[in-house]
Amino acid sequence: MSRKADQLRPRGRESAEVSAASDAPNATGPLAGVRALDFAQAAAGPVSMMYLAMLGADVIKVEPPRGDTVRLGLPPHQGMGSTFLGNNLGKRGVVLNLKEPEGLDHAKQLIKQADVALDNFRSPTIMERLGLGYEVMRELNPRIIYVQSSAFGRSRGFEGMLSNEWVAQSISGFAGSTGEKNGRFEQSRGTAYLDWFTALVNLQAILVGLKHRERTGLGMMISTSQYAGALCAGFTRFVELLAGGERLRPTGSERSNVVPDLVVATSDGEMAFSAPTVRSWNRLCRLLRLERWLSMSMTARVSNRDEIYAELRAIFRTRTTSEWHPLLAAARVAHHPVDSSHTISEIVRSHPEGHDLITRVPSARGDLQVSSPPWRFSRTPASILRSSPELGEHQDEVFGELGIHVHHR
Amino acid sequence: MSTIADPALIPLDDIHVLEIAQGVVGPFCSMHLAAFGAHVTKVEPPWGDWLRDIPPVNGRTSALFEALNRNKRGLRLDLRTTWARQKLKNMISRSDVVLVDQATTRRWPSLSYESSRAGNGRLIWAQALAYSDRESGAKQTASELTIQMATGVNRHLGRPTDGTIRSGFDIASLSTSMFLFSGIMAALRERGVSGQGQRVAVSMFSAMTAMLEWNLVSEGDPDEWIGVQLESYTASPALGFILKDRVAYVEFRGDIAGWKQFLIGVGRAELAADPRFNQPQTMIPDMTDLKLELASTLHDWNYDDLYRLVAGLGGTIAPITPGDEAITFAESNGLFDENPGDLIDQISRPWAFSVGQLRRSRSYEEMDVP
Repeated sequence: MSRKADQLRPRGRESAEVSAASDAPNATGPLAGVRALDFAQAAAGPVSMMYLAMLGADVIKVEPPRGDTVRLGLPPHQGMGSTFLGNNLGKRGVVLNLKEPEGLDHAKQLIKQADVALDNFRSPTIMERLGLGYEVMRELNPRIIYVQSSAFGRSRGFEGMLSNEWVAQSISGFAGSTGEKNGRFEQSRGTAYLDWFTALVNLQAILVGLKHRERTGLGMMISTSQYAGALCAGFTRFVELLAGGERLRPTGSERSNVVPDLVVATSDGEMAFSAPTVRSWNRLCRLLRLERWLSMSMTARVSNRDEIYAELRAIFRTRTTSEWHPLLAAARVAHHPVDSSHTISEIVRSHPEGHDLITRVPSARGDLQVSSPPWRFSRTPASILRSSPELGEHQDEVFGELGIHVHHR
Repeated sequence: MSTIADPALIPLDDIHVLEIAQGVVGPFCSMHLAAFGAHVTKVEPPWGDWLRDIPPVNGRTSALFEALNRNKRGLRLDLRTTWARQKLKNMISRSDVVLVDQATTRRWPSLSYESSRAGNGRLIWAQALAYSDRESGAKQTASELTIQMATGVNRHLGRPTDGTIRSGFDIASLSTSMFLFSGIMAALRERGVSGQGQRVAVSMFSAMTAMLEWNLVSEGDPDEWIGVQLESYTASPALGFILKDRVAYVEFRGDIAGWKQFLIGVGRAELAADPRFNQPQTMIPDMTDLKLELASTLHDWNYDDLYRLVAGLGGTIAPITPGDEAITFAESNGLFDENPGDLIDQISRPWAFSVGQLRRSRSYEEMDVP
């Protein structure tokens, strides 16, 4: 703990990077000075690099001439796929045709200057076939941290197959543990939790890689996959299952091993609430005049689930949702009304603490509605420095910094 | 990474973490720090982390508690005593990272970054919150379920007329942990440059909202109200195709030729010629009309035969795996083959590094307090 800062300060080539990044506009985040290349498309890869940019890194997105596939995604926002606009905030963008010698050469110039490179081609071998595998990268830049974020890793029978949110939900047990109680399992249709979770896995790996390099000076290749990331998102359920818990099947709004933790009807709507600790359970019992159940252990509550839930359901039907809210708040029982008729942005904004979780980013295509960076740093705030790049928008700027004149875009 | 430990090659061997957090969010974050070799010391109250009581319980302690706190050491401190508070203060002064959650700071308001940084300017103070750290938000408690409802997760689950459904995975809790992890690592990296610590906080509400970015940006001001993230809340759940022996998800995204070959291959050549079903935008999961057309045909197929057809055409096919079978399916398909450790390690370590080493996992080790 007593080591001086300058002993830990990156030396050699890296100090040049620090000064290069000080030219970037207002990079306030903790990763200022880190340069990253995003060869990825769609979500799980690009989103991890978007977060790297929010944390202060200079991220250059390298797209093929036709652009990231989700530029065509639905819905369009002023003619551009909103998925692209939401997954690439804070990056600069260039276009390279990696199948042509000039494009490949320019990619190699970028790799020489980069701390991190990531792709999410479905197969781990595609970058190798393009002539940009880890062996090539390491030759160009021994300190590079290369993340290959594939679909299924080296899982037999799936190698080389495409994955996406729906595939990940299907194969990981996410769908298999979601749905009506005792009913058929189902996917979450309009969300991308497992793309995002895999992005968080990639971000984790990159940051550990940077830390490891700081100690050893060594670059590395890190392999991740959406399949493994999706299973990690189910960690708690799988631990319960492996320990001999109940079958992992859909449980509606409930959970098999925590009581109470469910959605109940009120006289005019629905209320979700949870009281997992003995203390919160006791406060709930006192509020509801259920003193006979005070200090009941979780094991006993789970065993008496049906009786407890029948009683709770009867009591909650006697008041409106807005009458229950202050009572549960005063008892410090976690609760939230259920709203299924508004959009997600309306639901988040309607919560008193939600007003600053959604922000607007100006762009060439008008204002974008995006989520705020979720971290609060006291000294080096994360920020969204720019909107997602138009195709090849920063071609001249990025290659100009390298002293390269690029013809095509 | 291999599991033969040379401290110099363990990524976080030089990092000391003090965890004063219970439940899932904080411990899942520091479980990852410990997996990468950080030295994590957990402080529990005399009555123990509340998660210890959550079934299934193996022996005396919850399996979840054991899994989330593996590779950590811990002790119980009664912070109502001056002695314990002084001991904790000493521990904080020797830590690189202190990880606290909202229950900790609500119960012990004097445990703050402001009071701790005085004795340790390099400290990273990592804080897991429920909604926010404003005075109004700090009073509100949250759970996985209530954060899911606060962010409208239910909107995309179940039939619109049926009861409210949660996501079976603890997506709000675990994503909060992962964001906090990246915040800690980024702050450590910055400390290596500036020599200074700082505070980083992530709330479950902000993390889960960020997980819904796809929806937020689409809802903003779309040219048309189309796309699965905008429309699907009014649709019935996507359920895949029921085969003889499994339920399967099939997709040929963007590959119209492959898709047509697939329709011909299952004996429905007429669908390949039907303009309703041979456009790129019909090859997405909520193609209800097509599902009805194909359902009776695919009901006669078994998974292995359909797999051979789809894989041979370059498409994607995956079983919609019952929760019980997801891990054994991954294991039998070799997903974990190159990873050392037991199943819990393998589920929690979805990456493989070409260099570096990890320690062999060990159980939570509770130390006696003198």
